[in-house]
Amino acid sequence: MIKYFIKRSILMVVVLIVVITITFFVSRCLPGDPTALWVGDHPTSQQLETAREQLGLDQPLLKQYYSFIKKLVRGDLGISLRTHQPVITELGQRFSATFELVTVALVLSCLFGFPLGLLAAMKTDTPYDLFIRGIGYLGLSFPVFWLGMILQIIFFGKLDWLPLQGRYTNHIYLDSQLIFHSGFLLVDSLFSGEWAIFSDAIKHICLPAATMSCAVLGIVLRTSRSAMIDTMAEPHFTTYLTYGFTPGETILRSSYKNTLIPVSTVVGLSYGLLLGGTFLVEAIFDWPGLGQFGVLSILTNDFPAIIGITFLYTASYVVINFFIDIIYVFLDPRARQ
Amino acid sequence: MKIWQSIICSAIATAALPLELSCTSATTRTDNTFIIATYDDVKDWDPATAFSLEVLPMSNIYEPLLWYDAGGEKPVFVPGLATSYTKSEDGLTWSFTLRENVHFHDGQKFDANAVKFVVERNKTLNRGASYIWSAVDSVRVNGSHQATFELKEPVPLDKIVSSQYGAWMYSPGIAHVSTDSMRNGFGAGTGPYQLKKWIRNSHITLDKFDNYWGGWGNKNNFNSVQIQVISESSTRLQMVESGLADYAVLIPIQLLDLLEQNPDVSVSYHPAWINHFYLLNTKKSPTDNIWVRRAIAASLDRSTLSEYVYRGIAKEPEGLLPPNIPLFDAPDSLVQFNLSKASNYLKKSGIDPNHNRLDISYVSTSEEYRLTALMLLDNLRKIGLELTLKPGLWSTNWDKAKYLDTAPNIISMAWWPTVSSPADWFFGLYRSQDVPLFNLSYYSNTAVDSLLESAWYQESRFPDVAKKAYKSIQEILIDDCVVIPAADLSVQSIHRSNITGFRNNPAYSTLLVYNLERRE
Repeated sequence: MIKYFIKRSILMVVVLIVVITITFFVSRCLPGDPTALWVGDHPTSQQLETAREQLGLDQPLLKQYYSFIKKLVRGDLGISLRTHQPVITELGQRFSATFELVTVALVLSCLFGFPLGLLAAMKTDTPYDLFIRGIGYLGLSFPVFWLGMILQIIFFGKLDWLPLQGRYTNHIYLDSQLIFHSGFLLVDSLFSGEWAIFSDAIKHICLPAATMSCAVLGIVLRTSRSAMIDTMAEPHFTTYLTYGFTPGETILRSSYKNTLIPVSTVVGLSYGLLLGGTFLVEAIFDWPGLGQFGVLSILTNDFPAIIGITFLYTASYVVINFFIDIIYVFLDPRARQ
Repeated sequence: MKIWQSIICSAIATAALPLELSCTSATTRTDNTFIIATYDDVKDWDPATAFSLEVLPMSNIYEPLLWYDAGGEKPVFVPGLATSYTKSEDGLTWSFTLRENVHFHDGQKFDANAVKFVVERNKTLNRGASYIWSAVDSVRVNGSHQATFELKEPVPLDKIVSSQYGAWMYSPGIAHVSTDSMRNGFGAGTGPYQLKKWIRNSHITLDKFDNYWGGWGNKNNFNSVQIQVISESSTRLQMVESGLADYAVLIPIQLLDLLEQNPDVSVSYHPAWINHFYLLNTKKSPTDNIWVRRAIAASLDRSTLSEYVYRGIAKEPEGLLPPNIPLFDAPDSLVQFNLSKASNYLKKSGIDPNHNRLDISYVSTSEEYRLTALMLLDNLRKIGLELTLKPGLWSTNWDKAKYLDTAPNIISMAWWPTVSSPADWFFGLYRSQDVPLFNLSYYSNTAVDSLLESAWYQESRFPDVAKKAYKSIQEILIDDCVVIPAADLSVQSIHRSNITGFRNNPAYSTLLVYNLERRE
């Protein structure tokens, strides 16, 4: 098993190098002059020339690639042409915001989707099943930007229960004294005992997380339902029933475990997809995450930022799936062999 | 069946929600903070080199030697950190008397040495708008509050020192600030507000500077300013509607219809020094033929543009510059929209329309450019010319336009000045350039070059002569059909109705919060 994990780790590094190399060369072939973004509006020819030298764009492409890899090894991803901030700083701050949002959205999806899926499986082809499946379809089919705006209008505009946008209320954040700094606001405020900012952060994350979790809820719900139906058709399930257990007891005590593998696969894949697909939610709720940064970087040909984001997404995706593989081993005794 | 029916009914009801729920509950704020919702963050905190949206916080943190007030009937220079100034007859020596008892936010005193330091540092950095100081040969310190500028050429220095980019006076303490500290937010000016906190991509907080020379006699002044970065325009709209923000920047005109019935929000438009136009390539076939260029110019219907495309946020141009820019005199005539004339021009050109295609590149993110390009395509087709549309990002369009092989025949452009003068447009766009930078029409005319230089040098001493020269330049450019003006833009002002003190000044794309107050 250790051999397997070593092999997977090496493969992870290879995947990262290949993705970075492709992104580097593709981003340099994009049309447009990246120095224009660096120097701002109405530059002089001399300023453009100086910027080209500063950014190393006057060097041959292979030499640029060599210097890029050398810097990358030292943890330096360069400076964003659009924001003039080190890419690593931008990614660090934004990744934690996106990761926190995606994690909360996924937890919400699993918390509601998994039990609802099991319930639907137990009540197959009854009105309950139809209703729960309807929820799943609606979750999948609601456009994210539309749902986000509707939630804003209802919960901020009409009811005034939840904040409109952002990750926190500025004055509450400024007045707080966080002694724990992981970048995840919920974790930091919780461990620092800053309850004002913790409850404020919870309120702020509600609407974007609910919006985002809607689509994944549908996926989790449908996957757990179909996995449970398959499990209920297995001979061991019938055996339990003949011993006098009710279907509910059988599922709660044992059979639910059989659905965990397909559900964890879906959750793992959704994690990666959500990390890269937060743009609309982040734009609507003004969440200071990676999605907005990524799209704006691509639109403006900010190549150091594009490479940095691709690297981060790839790394997250690969690492998450690596952990999912580890979870398989614990969930499925056959995988240990 | 009932369940399906209920699901369908609830789906229909939910889909109709945006129509039903269009209003937002209003929040009454009692704090003394002025909140601005804007669309992007600061990227350069160095007042010498910042050359974009930074003007919003910087105009509240820093001050120039002079302000240029172009909001009244006649533009005037208003004392900033200089209380008065004189210039020599030849326009080469300018002396500024500086305001006394002024302190920077870091505690240092403002004096002539600070002015000398700022000008010399800006020139050395040679980034952003620092080129505005290129005509300054030296700055002499004549006593603690007297600074004399020696110029290489007789340029209008009063306009340069009042520029919204690169002319802010800042503390010499900046020399000890590291690049990393600067990247984390920096501000040491003499203005009414000082930088308290910058949270990247979130907000900037400015607090009132107690030692401000202008004083805080007006009790209704705002104690702090918060500039929030809200990238989504509908969210900015909801913020100002609900009272979470006092002022919103750049709301699309389509969304503004929602505000019409709201008495708590005020929407107005003011003339700006920004115009949209199309440059015609004079070196590339078939637009190297002046009759083809005239045919294109006669195919653009400007009145329809301002009425239906720009929908009241722009005016039909009177010339090649916004009409409210100082020293503007409208040219005798522009090429008017007339398709039969356009057809005649095309015949005169002698080109075979079947073997000559035109292309136009425009900024794809702008709906106005897209619709204008479509209108041009339709009108040119009527006279027998085919137009290929090439939408793209400005950086891509610009890069292609700089090389004749890849340059389009027509390119969309927008311009706003760094220095408040017609010369800013003409130097950037039409002066002969060996390697084109913004002269994307590849135009070269020694008569224009020499008229332009002479007008620029005479602006401060003989403004009437300069005005005539600028009019002549416009007429030459119209006659050579190098550019088609499209629209003179207005700037939008969307704010809570209980905020007073707004005054439009097209010389600065900003908001001076010190002048504002919240009505009870």
